[in-house]
Amino acid sequence: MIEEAGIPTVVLSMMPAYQPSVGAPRVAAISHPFGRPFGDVGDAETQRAVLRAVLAVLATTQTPGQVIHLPFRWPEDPTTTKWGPDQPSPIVALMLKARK
Amino acid sequence: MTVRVEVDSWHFVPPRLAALLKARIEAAPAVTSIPFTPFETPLPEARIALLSTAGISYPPDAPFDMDGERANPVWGDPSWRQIPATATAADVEVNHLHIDTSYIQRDLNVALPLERLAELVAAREVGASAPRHYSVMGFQLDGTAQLRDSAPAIAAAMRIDGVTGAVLAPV
Repeated sequence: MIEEAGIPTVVLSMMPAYQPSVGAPRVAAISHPFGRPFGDVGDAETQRAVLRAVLAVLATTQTPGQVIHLPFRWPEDPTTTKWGPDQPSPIVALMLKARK
Repeated sequence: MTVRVEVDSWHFVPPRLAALLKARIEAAPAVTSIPFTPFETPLPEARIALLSTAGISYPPDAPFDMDGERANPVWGDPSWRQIPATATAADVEVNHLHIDTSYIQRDLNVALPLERLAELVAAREVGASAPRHYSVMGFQLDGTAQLRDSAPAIAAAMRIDGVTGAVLAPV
């Protein structure tokens, strides 16, 4: 919608698997936990590097729908990286209840 | 030697949730056409706006409606908010029931890096930060209302501000 209004866009995506059904004009894919796409709290250096990399994808991508995989690594193990809410979301709570 | 790095979408997703999301993705129709506007204003002259799906609001604007979602778990608030370029974590509220919002509440830049953008502008790597930036709330099982109402309103606001490029950052 924004792209159609004449403004080029880039999506910083932690889930590039969605791209075939979403069709974003440009995607910068990153392996960061949900809620912290640009980097951790207080890590200005990573936040700046990610923003720079995303802007480079915006400025240089020529092919509609192209996915560029950014080389950032999250320092924590995925099993110990907390990104979810303290309480299950309403829909997850509903599904857990339905399973019982 | 160049090592090709592919991002694994499921790296942080617990297996059961991953299976559910994969099934949804497989069931979704593939996109047949992708809109594309060439990026023509070089970055040192570009005016950039940021958008986060984290449910960030700027008081006294109303927060995103979480009670509505608690009452109807398949509904997500489809509205949008604008956030001034000078905002910091102390100035905003963050409401999203599917992520731990505490990180954003401590440092807005983890999801909406307004301070980092201002630094790139000061370093003349980027022309300007738009006067206002944006948030929606990303839990939308049915994206119809957000696409119909919020997306065109955000696009219109960006055009008014002379935005020449937008960074959209789902959480």
